[in-house]
Amino acid sequence: MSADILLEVRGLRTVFDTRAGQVCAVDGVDVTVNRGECLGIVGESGSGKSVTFASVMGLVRVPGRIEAGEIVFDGIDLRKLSAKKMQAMRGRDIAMTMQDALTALNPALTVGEQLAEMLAAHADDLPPGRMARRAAIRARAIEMLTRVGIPSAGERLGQYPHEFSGGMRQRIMIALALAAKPRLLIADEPTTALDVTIQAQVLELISALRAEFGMSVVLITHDLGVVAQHCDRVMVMYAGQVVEEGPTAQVIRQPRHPYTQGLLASIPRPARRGQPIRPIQGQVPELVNLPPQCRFLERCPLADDACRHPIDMRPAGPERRARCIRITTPDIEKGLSHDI
Amino acid sequence: MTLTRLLERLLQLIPVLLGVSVIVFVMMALTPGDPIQIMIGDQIVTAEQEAQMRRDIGLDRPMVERFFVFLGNAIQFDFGQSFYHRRPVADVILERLPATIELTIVAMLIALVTAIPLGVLAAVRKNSIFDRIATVGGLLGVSLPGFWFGILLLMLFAVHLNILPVAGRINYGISQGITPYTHFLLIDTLLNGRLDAFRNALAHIILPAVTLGLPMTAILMRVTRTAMLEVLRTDYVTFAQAKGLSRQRILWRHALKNALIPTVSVAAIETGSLLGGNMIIETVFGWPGLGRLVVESIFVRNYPLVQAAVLLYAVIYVMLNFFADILYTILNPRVKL
Ligand SMILES: Nc1ncnc2c1ncn2[C@@H]1O[C@H](COP(=O)(O)OP(=O)(O)OP(=O)(O)O)[C@@H](O)[C@H]1O
Ligand code: SF4
Ligand SMILES: [Mg+2]
Repeated sequence: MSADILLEVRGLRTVFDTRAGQVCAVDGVDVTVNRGECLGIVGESGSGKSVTFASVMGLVRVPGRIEAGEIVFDGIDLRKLSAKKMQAMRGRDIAMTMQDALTALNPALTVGEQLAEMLAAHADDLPPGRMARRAAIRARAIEMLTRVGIPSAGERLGQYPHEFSGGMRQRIMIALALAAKPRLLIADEPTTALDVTIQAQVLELISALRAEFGMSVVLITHDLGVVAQHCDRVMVMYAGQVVEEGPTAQVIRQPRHPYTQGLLASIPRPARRGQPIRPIQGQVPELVNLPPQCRFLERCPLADDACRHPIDMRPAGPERRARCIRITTPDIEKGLSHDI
Repeated sequence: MTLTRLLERLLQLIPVLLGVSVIVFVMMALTPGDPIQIMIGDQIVTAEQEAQMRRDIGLDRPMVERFFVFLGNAIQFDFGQSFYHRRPVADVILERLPATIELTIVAMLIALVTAIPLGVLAAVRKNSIFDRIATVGGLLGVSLPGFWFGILLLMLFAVHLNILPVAGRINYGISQGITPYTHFLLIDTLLNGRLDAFRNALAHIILPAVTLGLPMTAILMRVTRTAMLEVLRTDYVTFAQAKGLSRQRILWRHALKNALIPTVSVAAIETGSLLGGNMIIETVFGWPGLGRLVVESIFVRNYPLVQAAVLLYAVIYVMLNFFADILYTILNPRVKL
């Protein structure tokens, strides 16, 4: 493994046993996160983004389970770790923020309590003695809240999550995730629940903290615009698989996979003013008993009989890969480069 | 919760309590059997004397007037004379009340202390053997008649094993010389520094309290289990795991603190139903409380006492519901009154 790689996932397969059959939410996913980089993950709802990273955190719940794959974090195979050791890594080495801060924060505990327990669990440089320890934890909690932009943090430690605005809650969750200065932050749709101006602030905050702490960030989002602004590389997921990955600028300028092309064509952008927005037709297939063929087949404008067998990822340029038998550069994307 | 809001909630209780008084009054007025005849019993009285008695108690007045007299007296805790004891009803009730309250509280505590951990474990090990046994046990607990279970316990522990007393609250000899500061024996014995008496009182209360608390234990266990299962699925439990907190902390602090909200509210409301259970359990275990007094009074048609007791039960029940509401808001920071 290269020294630059922080997280490497190989052949991850996570399934849910349901009454309708086995739902294969993540099917053969590879992820590489380099040190210090920001990797964007995009894809429609239900494409397996959250389940992939819940698997990385070891937080898949019944009826779900990881069926196959290797998850290596900084040289450690996480799937082989004991529950105790995995617990020690969560929060301290790999942290996560969840899609909805309102439901992710415990409604019955104050923000101060939730920060304090996090610090107590992970900070090993606290002074001895109960009172000194308490004071140090409190000081650090205030410091964290202030850092993420919560005014008069000291007074607000005693408040409950519902007493904060949505944007503030998102910041609190980020403060919690970063309290132990992790090396990898998985930010699952940190802005979906927020309005536009707050979105920009929260993303700026994550970028600033990434630089400050020198950590890597996985940014899960629906929004290619966010990826274009904040991510070094991007990974596009569809129906439990990665369909395209590469450096952000290149993927956006020249999407190789018809699904990525569709995603790009479906967002309104100033450069295409006057042209109609074209949403991708059809729906994501049910992830139960999928036929052995390209998963995008029903929705793909380029599909033909050659696509009726399982498609592997294949090289699509320097540092790029895509899961399509026709690696194309269609003309619709010409001239749509950096203006997202 | 603000004080004004609390007062408002208290004021809302007034119409409820008024309604309860009407029901109790009408119920007693419609009960067959003439109270005067019961009072007279087999004494020989003239028609003139009988009419005089009727006037003395005010039974010759119209219903509505009698109701307001009843209400006015009830507010002053005056429920008339207990025919049987030849003392004011209020005195007799007050004398018996502490024993019942003590039994109820101990039953409640036993129920809470066993039900909550069992419910949590059943939820954590959902569908395990333990969960199944707890479920079946809980079902039996609610459906078995209390007196039957009580008699079973009596036969086992008091008769066969002979390690617990059969009836009563404390042995008469041991109870001598104890100053009744609170009228709760478990507390008074300790305040008097009489460990022997405390142990004796404890031995007396265990079987009735367990019997009385059994259905409550079963209910609370179910409520805790259901609430825990729901809470364990929430995002904040996942997030607590993602923070790297220990399993114990997540379970007993993050999850239980939320799951306890419904449990404690149900416990407060269900305490009211323990009052009903008291009548049977106190009779089975010879517990000198209000429940047994009411049963005895019904048999001897001591109506004023029954009337007062029923009113008292209703008031306690309403107050417990009020208390459950308050508790819910205290426990749940999201709800503001
Ligand atoms: N508990 C579960 N039981 C059954 N299936 C599940 C469960 N959780 C997830 N899945 C399946 O996994 C698929 C992927 O879910 P996931 O949450 O990873 O999607 P996502 O890409 O994060 O979508 P979104 O953008 O809506 O967050 C879902 O389509 C669903 O079918
Ligand atoms: S493999 Fe075929 S169906 Fe699949 S994306 Fe490529 S062209 Fe479309
Ligand atoms: Mg998701």
